[in-house]
Amino acid sequence: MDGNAAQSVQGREAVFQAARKIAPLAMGYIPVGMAFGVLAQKAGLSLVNTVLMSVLVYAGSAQLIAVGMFAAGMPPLSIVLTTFVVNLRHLLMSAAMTPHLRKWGPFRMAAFCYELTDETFALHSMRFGRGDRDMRQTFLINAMAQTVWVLSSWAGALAGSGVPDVEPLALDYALPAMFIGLLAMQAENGLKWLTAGFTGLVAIALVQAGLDQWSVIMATVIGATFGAGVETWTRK
Amino acid sequence: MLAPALVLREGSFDFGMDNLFLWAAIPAFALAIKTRSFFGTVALGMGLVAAGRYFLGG
Repeated sequence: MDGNAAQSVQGREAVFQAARKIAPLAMGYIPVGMAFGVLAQKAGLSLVNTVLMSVLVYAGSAQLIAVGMFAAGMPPLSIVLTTFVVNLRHLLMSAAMTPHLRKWGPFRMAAFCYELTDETFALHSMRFGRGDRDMRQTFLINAMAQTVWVLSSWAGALAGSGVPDVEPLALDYALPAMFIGLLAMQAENGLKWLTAGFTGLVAIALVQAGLDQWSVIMATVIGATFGAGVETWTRK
Repeated sequence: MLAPALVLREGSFDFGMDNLFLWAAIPAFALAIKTRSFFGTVALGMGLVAAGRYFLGG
């Protein structure tokens, strides 16, 4: 606790406050976490691996992509590279957060950034912007958000064997819908939409050419090269 | 990964009315651009596909 000890709340009240803050976020985590659990179970991941993934990876998008690629029988290198690229944005998020946390020291900062997600990033950005930097609250929020995510994916994995078919629940649409969300969040200008569209066309062409397994990573590299090329070219 | 999932079905192009994946993507994109809400988009997209399958028997 730092200088503003009078401000910080303790005990039960602190837990209630954190719970109130993560309530809207939990509304999203529970259905998507359960969808992840069911899909992981369908992709053949064990219960332990599914829950461990939620504990260790703790990134909805990367986890859904990974199980989608597992299910499609993609090569491991392709899965690793794809999830790395998809999660690169967390590098920027963590970097944006650390100026607020300088007093915390590297160990606590790392613990904080490990639990950072798109949603908790938005929440903490708002809190820190208001000057609300209470460390206890911050870690409580993160820990509770991750607990919700881990429990929902565990529940999903358990329920998975009882779900005979993913289609009536549209669970097979979780991944495409998630990509739409991610794309819209990151593509803030025309060039990025152009690059995304071009990459999509390349991916379609590669799948049509019979290169299913490598289409994702190849389209990413070709698309990124195209985007960088257009950017350099238009700047001149 | 997104583009082939939306327009290809079992290896061939499908722009027909019964390609729910493609049509559900349009409102999902609109919501995503407007609200920047990741989970809202997922919920809307899945909801639309589930509803479409239920009502249209797709």
